[in-house]
Amino acid sequence: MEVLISSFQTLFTFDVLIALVAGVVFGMVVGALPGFTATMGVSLLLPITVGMEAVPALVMLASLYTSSTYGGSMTAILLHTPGTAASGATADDGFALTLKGKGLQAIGVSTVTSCAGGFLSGIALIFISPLLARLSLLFGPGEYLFVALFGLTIIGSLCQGGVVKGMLCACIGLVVACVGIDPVTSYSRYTFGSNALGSGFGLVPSLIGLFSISQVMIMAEMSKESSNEGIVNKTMQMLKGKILLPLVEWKNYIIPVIRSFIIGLFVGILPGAGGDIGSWLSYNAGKQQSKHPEEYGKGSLEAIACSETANNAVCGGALVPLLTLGVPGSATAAVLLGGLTMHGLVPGNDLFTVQAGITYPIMLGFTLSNFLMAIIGLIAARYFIKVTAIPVSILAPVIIVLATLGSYAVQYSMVDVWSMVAFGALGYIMRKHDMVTAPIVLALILGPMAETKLIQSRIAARSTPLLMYFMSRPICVILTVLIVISIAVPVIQSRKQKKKSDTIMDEE
Amino acid sequence: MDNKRFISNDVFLGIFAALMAVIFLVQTMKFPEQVRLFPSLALILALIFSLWIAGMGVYKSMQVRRGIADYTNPEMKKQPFIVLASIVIYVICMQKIGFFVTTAVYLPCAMLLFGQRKPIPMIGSTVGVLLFIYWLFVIQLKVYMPAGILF
Repeated sequence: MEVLISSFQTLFTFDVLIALVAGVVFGMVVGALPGFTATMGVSLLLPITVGMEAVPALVMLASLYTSSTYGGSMTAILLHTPGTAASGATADDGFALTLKGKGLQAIGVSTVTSCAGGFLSGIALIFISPLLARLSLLFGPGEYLFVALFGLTIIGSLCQGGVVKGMLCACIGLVVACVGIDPVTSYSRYTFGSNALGSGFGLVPSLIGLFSISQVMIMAEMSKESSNEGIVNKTMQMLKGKILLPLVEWKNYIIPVIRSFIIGLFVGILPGAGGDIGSWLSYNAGKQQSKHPEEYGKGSLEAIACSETANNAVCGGALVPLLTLGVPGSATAAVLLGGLTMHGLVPGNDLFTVQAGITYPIMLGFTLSNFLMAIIGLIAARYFIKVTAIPVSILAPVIIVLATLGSYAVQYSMVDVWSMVAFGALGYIMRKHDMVTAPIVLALILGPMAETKLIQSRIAARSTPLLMYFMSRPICVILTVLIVISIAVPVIQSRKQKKKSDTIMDEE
Repeated sequence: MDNKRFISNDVFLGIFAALMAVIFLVQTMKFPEQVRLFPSLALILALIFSLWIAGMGVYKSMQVRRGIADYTNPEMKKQPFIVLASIVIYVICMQKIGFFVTTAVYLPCAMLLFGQRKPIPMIGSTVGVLLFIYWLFVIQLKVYMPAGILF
C-alpha cells in the first residue's frame, strides 16, 4: 500500500504528467493514421526517451500503446479504415452506424469501452504481475528457455502468411540476434571482421527499420494523390447528436464489457498474441452470446463494445509477461521491452521489489492514461480523423527524417543508422512476401535470453542428457505441451479451412 | 502472365533462404562448440522451413499450371527502391554535410518524390519539422546531431 501511495506521488509530478499527456495524444494520432501501428509509434518515440528519466519515459510509451489502440477505432468507425489491426473488428459495425448518422454514438461507446478495457487491464496488471513475478523465482534456466521458445512459436503460428513463414521469420531473427561478440566466450560471430558489428545490431534501429522504414516503402507504392480530405470533410458533416448514450442504456453493455475484458486480458498475457486476435475473439464470443446476433456486422453498438474493450484489455495483459518474465505479450510490448532495458530495468521479481518505486508509477500511469484517453477522446475524437487528411507525400518524408534521427540518437552511432536502412529493406521484402516482421523483433529480444538459458541449462544438467533434464522439470513439460499445441492448432485449423473452402468450391 | 509457365515466388524465396542458411551453417561450423550450438540449431530450423516454403511454392505453381488454383505473385515496384536509395543518399550526405542542412534539402526533395507538388505545404512542413527537431532534440534532450562540414 505504501508503494502505491508513493507511486501516486511520483506520478503526479509535472514531468510525468506532461509525458502522460504527450503519450496519449501522440498515440491517438498514430492510431488514427491508417498504416501506422502502435508498434511503429512506440519505436519512433523510443529514441526520444533516451535522455528522459525512466518513469516519465516509460509512462509515455505505455500510454502511447493503449491510446493508439483506441485511436485506430476512430478512423475504423468514421472512415471504415481501421487505423490499427486491432480495430479491424470495429470497422464494419462502426461505419454502418456512421452511415445511419450514429457515428458519434459509436465513437462514444468505443471511447468508454476502450477506457474500461484498458483501465481494468491496468488494475489486473498491478495485482497479477507481482504474484507472477514471485512465481518466476521458481523458474530455472530450463523454464526460461521454454518460455522464450513458447513466445517464439506462438507469434510464428499467428502470422498471416502461414505458420511456416512465421517460423522462418523467427529463425532469421534468432540468427540475427547471434551477430556480434558472444557474451559468454567473447567469440565474434558473423561480424566478418567488422568492429562495428561487434556489439551486434542495435534493437531500436532494427525496430525502426522493420516497422517504420518498411512502412514508408509500402507507402511509396500508393497512388501519388492519396489525400482523402474530401472523404474526411464529408464524414465530418454526417456527425450529429450526442456522443454519450443515456445512462440507462449502458447497463446493456456491462456483461459484454466484462466478458471482453477477460478475453482481452487472457489473450494479452499469451506471449505474442496481439490486440487484433483479442478483439476478433471477443467479437465472436459477443455474437454467440448476444440477444441480437443478427445486428453484428450491420451496425451494432454491442459489437463495438466487445471488440474495443478487448483490444485495450490486451494492452495491460501484454505487459504482465513482459514485466514479470521478460516475454512480450505482443509486438508492441516487445518494443516496450527495448524501452525497459534502455533504462536499465530488468524484468523479473526485482522490478516489484528493488525497483518498485519505478515500476508501480509506470503501471499506474498506464492505468490512468486510459481515463485521460477517454476524456480527450470524448472531447476531440471527431477532430482526430482530420489527421488522416495529411497526405502521404508529407508524412512519409517526415517519418524518414525522424526514423533516421531516432536511430542515431540512441548511441550517437551512424552504424545504427545503416542498420535501420538494412532492416527497412529486409522488412519491406518480407512484407511483400506475406512474412510479418513481428517474429524477427521477438526473436531479437528472446534469442539472447534463450541462448543464455540453454547454456546455463547444459551446465545445470551436468552429466544428465539435456532432454532428460528438461523432462524432469514439470513446468518445462507443461510448456513443451503448450509449444506443440501452439504450432499444431493453426496448422490443423488452416487445413480444415482449406478443406471447407474446397468443398464449397466443389459444390458450386 | 501465362499460367503454364507460372512459378510461385515462394519457390525462389525458399531456395534463397535455404542457400543463405547453408552458407551461414558452414560458417557456424567453424565456431567453437559452445558458441555454435544455438545459431546452428536456429539455422537448421531455418533450412527446414525454407525448404518447406520452397516445396509449398512448387505445389502452388503446379496447382496454378493445372488451373486448380489462382495465385498471383506480389508485384515489386520501382518506387519503394527509389525511396530506399534516397534514404541511402540522405544518410551519406548527413555524415558529410551535417544533419540540419541535409534535412532542409532532403525533405522537399523526398516530398517531390512522393508526389507532392504544392510549394506551401512543402516549405511549411520542412520548416516546421526542422524547428520541432531543433527544439526537442537539441534544446530539450541535448542530443549531439550528426555534424559534417556544415550545421
